[in-house]
Amino acid sequence: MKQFSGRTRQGVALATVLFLLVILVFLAASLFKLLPSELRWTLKQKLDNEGYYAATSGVRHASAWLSAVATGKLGDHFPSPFDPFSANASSDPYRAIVVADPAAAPYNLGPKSIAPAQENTNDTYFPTNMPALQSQGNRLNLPNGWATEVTIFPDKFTAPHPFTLTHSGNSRPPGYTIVSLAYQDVNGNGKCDFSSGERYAVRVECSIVGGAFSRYAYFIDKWDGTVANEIRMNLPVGNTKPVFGGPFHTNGVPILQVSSPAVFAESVTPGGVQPHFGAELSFAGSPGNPTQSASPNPNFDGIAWRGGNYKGSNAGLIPFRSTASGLTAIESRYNRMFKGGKSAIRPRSRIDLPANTDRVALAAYGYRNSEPRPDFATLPNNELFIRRDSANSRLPLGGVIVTGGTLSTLLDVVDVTGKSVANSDYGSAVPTVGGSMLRVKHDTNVSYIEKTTVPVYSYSTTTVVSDEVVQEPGSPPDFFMDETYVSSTEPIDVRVPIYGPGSVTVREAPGGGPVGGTPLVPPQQIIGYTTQTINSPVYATRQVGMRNVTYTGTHLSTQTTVVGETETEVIRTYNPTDYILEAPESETVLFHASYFSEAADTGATSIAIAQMPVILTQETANVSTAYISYPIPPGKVGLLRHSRITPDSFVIEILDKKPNGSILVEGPVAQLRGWNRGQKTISAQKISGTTITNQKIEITGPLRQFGLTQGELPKSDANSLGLIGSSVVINVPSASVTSQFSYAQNKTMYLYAAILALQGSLESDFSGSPTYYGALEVIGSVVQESVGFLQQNSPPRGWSSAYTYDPFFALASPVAFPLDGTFSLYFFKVDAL
Amino acid sequence: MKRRGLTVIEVLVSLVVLATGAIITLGAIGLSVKATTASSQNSEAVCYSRRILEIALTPGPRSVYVESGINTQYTNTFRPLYSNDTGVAPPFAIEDFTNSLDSKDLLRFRKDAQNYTYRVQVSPFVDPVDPRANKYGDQLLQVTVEMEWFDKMGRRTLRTGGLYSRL
Repeated sequence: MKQFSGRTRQGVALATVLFLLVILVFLAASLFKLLPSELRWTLKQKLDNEGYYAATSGVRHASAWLSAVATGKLGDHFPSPFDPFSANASSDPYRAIVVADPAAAPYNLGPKSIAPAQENTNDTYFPTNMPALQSQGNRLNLPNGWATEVTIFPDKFTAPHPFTLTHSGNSRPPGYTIVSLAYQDVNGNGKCDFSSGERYAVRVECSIVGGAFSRYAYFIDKWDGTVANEIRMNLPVGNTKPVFGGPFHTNGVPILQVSSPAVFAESVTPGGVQPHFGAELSFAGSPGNPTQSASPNPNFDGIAWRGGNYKGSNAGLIPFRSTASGLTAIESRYNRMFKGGKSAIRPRSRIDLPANTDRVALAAYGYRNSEPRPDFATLPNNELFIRRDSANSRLPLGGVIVTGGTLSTLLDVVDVTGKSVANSDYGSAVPTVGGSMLRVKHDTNVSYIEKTTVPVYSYSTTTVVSDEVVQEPGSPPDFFMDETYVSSTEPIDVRVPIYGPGSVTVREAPGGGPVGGTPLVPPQQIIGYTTQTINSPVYATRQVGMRNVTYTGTHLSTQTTVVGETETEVIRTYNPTDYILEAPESETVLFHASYFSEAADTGATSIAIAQMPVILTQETANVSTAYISYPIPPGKVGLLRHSRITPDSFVIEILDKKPNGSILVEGPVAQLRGWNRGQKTISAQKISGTTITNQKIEITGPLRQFGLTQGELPKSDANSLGLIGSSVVINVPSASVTSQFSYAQNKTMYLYAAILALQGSLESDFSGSPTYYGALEVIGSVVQESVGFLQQNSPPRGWSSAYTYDPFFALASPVAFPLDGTFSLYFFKVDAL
Repeated sequence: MKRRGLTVIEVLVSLVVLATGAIITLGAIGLSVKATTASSQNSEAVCYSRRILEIALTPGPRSVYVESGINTQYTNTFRPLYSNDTGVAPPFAIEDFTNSLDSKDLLRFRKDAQNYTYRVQVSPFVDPVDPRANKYGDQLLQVTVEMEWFDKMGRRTLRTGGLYSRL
């Protein structure tokens, strides 16, 4: 065995020490090596965190600004209202630029192009030299010197995208792709200065699409839960379709009433029982803990559950329970109520009804970027105005402006033979061909003088000469008659009833009450009597003397004897009626005036010449039988303008292009009904300077949609109709009950429309309604300031309401419909750079 | 052969070298531990501030803006993130800062979080250039979360900010 000698062991200690030292040095070096990495990563984590919030704040900033532009908050600041791309002032936080290559860094957007452009798809694309908006410096500064550079790219339906497709563009709310780049602005010059070592740290890319008010299945601004006749939604047992198929929003507190605890016991099944809310329920009101019961359940989800935690404390009527650890959701109950479960309930900020409806007015005018704002007061009164291209008078630039209110407003579909669906030439068949027709009867009449020969009569009349039985000397009455008069009053006691809370008029819950059944809110109840003293009239009879007086002269009465004739001038009046008939691209349609007569509206099968709104007097020999029949070629538009001089003449003009569908009526819209083909928005509003006053829309019959049977859901957004007014009133006249618009009791009247009542409601006019209940089925969306009166029970009349959401309104909207200022997020991506 | 042990000089030199190495190494380790602790605390503060900011910026009853206006639960004063006496101050809850309700997690949070105080500053967004900024900026609030804690290197702060949108 080898032995180490002392000599051989010399230096072992040093070697050992050096070895240990090397280990220590390595250890220290490793720590020193790791330490900067650790610190660097910590710093990076901090910077990433700050950069993330800076970048997302940039998106929020851009969204808020776009929202303010879209809702008209910035007023007339921009050369083009509602168009953010017309921002060009140095004070604007964004300015229009052209991005040479959106696919290049730092935007990294793609693809560059899709050819040909796909009109009806949701893809977007970013060609070279694309217009965009870019934030100006020093507008959004965050702690630690963080700033953002935000660039806003329009989607292909949003001007000024170079490939904007105008056909569908009007019905699409604007969409944008936002790229927000966060950086630390070390030198504070308001831009990412690469030469100074600054660089982009975080990139956020997102796609947002604006929302129009039509996207709500139901929207109530004011939800009054404090009065006896509170508005609430009744959630019944066994409902097989959602009460509201789309989003629901109120700026108040929603009050839901589960009709029975059995509702919560039901199971949702395919094709069977469905949740009451098909989409989200959002609200801005904050109920706190409802206290209108002796032992209220506390609030849990922001909803006032009537009978559960509001005006009652029945634990079977609320979808949550108290446990030792607090309140807990009962998921099965929420799933029974909401398709998305409890997560469908969303507290959120107020969504204000639009401050103005300028957007549809400008669309109707055909406003173009950078023009001066139109002065609506200079337009000719009492006309159907369509602005034309200055170089081509047959080319409409916008929609239609009716410069005054209407007495009658008919939507119709007319085919090549002149058949009218609104006037029931189709019977019960649903038309699949034909052109869209709009007939407007102006509410301002036209007077003209007509010379006519009138007979001269002798006639007699009587006149009172004395109210007392007193015979004046020399002029005695010819006869006497009895007259009852109030001689005095005397106090008497009467028994009068005392009414309890409630009202005779039922403010029906949305979605709600059974047709003809018991209203949700009881009628006014007599809860006692009291005695009141009133002054009762004392009647007496007296005789009055009467005298016959005989005259000779011109008199129109036929009750007396003709003694001759004379020629005179008679002032007559009529309300001019104008029409627009749009022929489809592949069809010819016939302008056949007889179908447009108002007599036909009420079911007349034979139209007398006097009932014709206009008759052809120059082109036919026999004016008593010939009606106007004028073919409108495919893709063209016939505009018939009633003469403002005489009712018997008119002018037909052919236009090369359809108006854009926005229809501004400068006054109330009366007697609206019919069938709609094509995208339209009818807005009743008066514009005086920059002040806009909304007017009422009256609906006197169903509003059906082209190609759909009653109750059928829309198959596209091609025929969407929007109605905007201060209020929208259902007023079906009794005469219509027997016409083609008639509804037997308990039948359904369909309204295919997005209804926006800005200062009122969708409501019934009980004075004109027949005394029956009918069902009102709105297929579309309803947005109103408050819930209107749709039915009353004493006497029973009005409409029981039901709502079916038009799912196409979730993305598209009727033409130029007001935007609610919200944006939906469709894509979101964060990159650390 | 004569066996020879380590000389005194050898021992001394070895000790000096070893001691020097050990001092340097220990210094480095100490410094590293300090730095790592600081770094961990910084990371922790970043996480806390992110959670606070996320809750403050997400619309709802705990956001900086509620129906009645700016949420009064954000007091603009420094408050302990956690205290044994009062727990986590509203509108936050202990669950907001822990991944689970595991007792070890909770214990660790309670121990660590006591080192931190925070405040949330909320103010209307002001565009410094655009005089009409209130017309679009009224939907926005500027929110800054400030975390404060102390370590062996003294007082440390962390500020993170973002915009709240009422849209």
